[in-house]
Amino acid sequence: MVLARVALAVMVVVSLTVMALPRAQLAPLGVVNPSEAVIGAGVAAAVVMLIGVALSAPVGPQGAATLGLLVVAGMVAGAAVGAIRLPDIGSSVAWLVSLLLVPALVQMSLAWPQAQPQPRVERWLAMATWAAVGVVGLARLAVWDPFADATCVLGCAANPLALHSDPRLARTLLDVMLVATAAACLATAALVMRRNRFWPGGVACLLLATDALVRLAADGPLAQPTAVALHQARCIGLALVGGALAMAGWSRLRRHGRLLRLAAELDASPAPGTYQASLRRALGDPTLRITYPGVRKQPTDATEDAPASAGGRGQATTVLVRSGTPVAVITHHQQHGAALAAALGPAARMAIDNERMQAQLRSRLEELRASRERIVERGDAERLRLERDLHDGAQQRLLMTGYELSRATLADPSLAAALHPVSRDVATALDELREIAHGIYPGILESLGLPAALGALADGPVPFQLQDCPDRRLAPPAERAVYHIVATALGHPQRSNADGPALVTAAVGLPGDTLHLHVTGLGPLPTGLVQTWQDRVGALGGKVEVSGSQLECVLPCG
Amino acid sequence: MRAAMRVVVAEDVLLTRAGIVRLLTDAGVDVVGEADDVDSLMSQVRAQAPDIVISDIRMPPTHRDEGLVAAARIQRDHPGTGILILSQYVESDYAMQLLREHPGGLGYLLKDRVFDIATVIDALRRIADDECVIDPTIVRRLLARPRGAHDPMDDLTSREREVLALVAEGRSNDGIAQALFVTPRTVEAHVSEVFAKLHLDPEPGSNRRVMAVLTYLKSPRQPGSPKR
Repeated sequence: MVLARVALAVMVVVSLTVMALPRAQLAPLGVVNPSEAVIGAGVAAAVVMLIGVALSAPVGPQGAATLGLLVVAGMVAGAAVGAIRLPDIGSSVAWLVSLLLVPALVQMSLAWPQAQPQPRVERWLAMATWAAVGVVGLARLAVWDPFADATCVLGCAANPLALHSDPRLARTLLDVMLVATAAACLATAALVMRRNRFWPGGVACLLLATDALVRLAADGPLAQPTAVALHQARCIGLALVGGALAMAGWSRLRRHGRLLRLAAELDASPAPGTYQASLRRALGDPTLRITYPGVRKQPTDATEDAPASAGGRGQATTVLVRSGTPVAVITHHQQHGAALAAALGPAARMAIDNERMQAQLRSRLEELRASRERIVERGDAERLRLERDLHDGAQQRLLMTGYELSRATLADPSLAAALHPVSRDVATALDELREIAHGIYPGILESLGLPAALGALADGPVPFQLQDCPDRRLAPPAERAVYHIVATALGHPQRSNADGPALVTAAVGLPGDTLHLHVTGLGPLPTGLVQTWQDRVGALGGKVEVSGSQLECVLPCG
Repeated sequence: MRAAMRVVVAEDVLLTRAGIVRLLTDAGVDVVGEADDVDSLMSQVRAQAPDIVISDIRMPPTHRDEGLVAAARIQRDHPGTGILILSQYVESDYAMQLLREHPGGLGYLLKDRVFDIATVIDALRRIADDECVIDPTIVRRLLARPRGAHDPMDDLTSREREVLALVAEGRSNDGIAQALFVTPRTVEAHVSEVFAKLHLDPEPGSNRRVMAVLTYLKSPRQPGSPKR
């Protein structure tokens, strides 16, 4: 692909250099040895121009066709002016084909960087130029006899295609051709400049138009100084246009290279969430933005946003559609539309769709996780409220009753025997209520934290040893989850042979930002219990694993 | 006969506070101030300079450990003021957290212990004498902890276990002697025997030995028991 383009560029340079040599213009005027400088300038300008054309030719097969046409036109133009010796019939056809330079330039300028102009008016203009040049060219060829043409000195081979020699008609048709060329080029230049698109094309058209108008105005052989000046102006214009073309083409080639690199990256492994950054790098457009319709949490961070807002000046939008549904909306600078369209091949589309699906999945998972966390939190809050209600309500009333019984006994010691059993019952009720309240929500966890709460579990009927526990407060949900697991696990100790339940141990560690809980000495566990642990820990983004008599729990604990 | 003890009562539930205050008043204790949160408690302590502060653990605003925080501040800012924590919680950590800072003039009783007003009056006296008082229920729970085989506690006689419990409750040798109807010298012998069997350093002060015993009872068991 690249080799073909380089070869094409070399051919263009060689052939059009010949065309740019000013023989045809100067020889008829008697200039036998035009100054070296003039020839050198012409060659240099042509070389710059041709490198520009080669580099900036549109992408794709149709663009290559337009470029090819330019090349052929250039070569035959060289032949037409006699630089290349051809049979007579060849000279005639070459002259006709060389005329196609004008419509080819018009089409390329209007369509750049694509192969076809997009608005209908512009397509018509291009077609009309092709038609006018073709028809008038053929007509002139039919009536033109080089021998009868006073302006023809070199390359004036016999015209075997001439049906009838009519110098006046030939001259008129040439004028018509010059007028048509000037009109088409001016219109194209105006359109290109107004839309602020491919200005090198516009300048080239202006140059062609001026050239045509000057030749029209001269209406015959030019005076030598005028011809030299005109030629110098053409050289400067050609060099300018060629330089601009080369710059535009170079930046486009670089961008194309980046896009190719991006495609390679995508092939390798598209990391989800990086596609926007990759496209921004590839196109050099920091305002480019990919959004995925229907995804609540977009994969790209909001802080990455460039200041330019979507829909601002010069912004355009490309919507990627897959199976009839839009999967991604890309907002970018409008000048990158074509490059983007070329870059978004099937692989890139699949990668973007993949990123969208991953983003959607992550967004849903995050919602789900948050919802699980809320459910657990709400349950805990409700239990805490119940425990406080018990503490501040029923327990306080029972205490009050007990105090009043004591006062009665104090006032009248003879009541002691009767009231003592009542007082004991109240105390027992308080004991039971305390156990219930503790079961609903362990107050010691709330007030003294994990080490004290876990340590107090050794007061229960199962031998328990807390081996390690960081002496600092953690996030309440994490503390509750760990306490809940250890407290309920203690209900299922491993049974040793003779002396009842074996020792259960627990160790809590805080390596980095995670909490590790390790419990040993567990007997067979009901599946429902493990499920409860997994629900609770899973809601916090952690996990629990039980294997044999051991339990491992890992919790994120920022 | 010593003068009536002056106490400040801190408890956020009005009903309970009124009950305690009436009972104490009936029993001849001089309640010089009442408080329902830490700030009012601190200002009462400053204004009244009571002998003893009786305080709940959970108070506004967070209902977590405000009573313990206030107790630590009183111990620091008003040394010599006794503190009796009345609580619903049987876990030993609350009491031990205070004892760790300041071993004397401190008590921790369950709220229903107050049903027996004589126990409370006795506790207040002991606190005023700079002893410490730990609720018997808490001590019982610690002693009843399941232990594995080859536990030094198994080597204690039942009398020695009684003595150990009374030591843990914060009683002096004289107090233990009175409770068990034996001579103080017998108690002394029992105590040194218990400490020897549990490999505890014989502590001279009775307050320090409370913490030592509680810590021993709470500490994870030594390795070697039971076989798994």
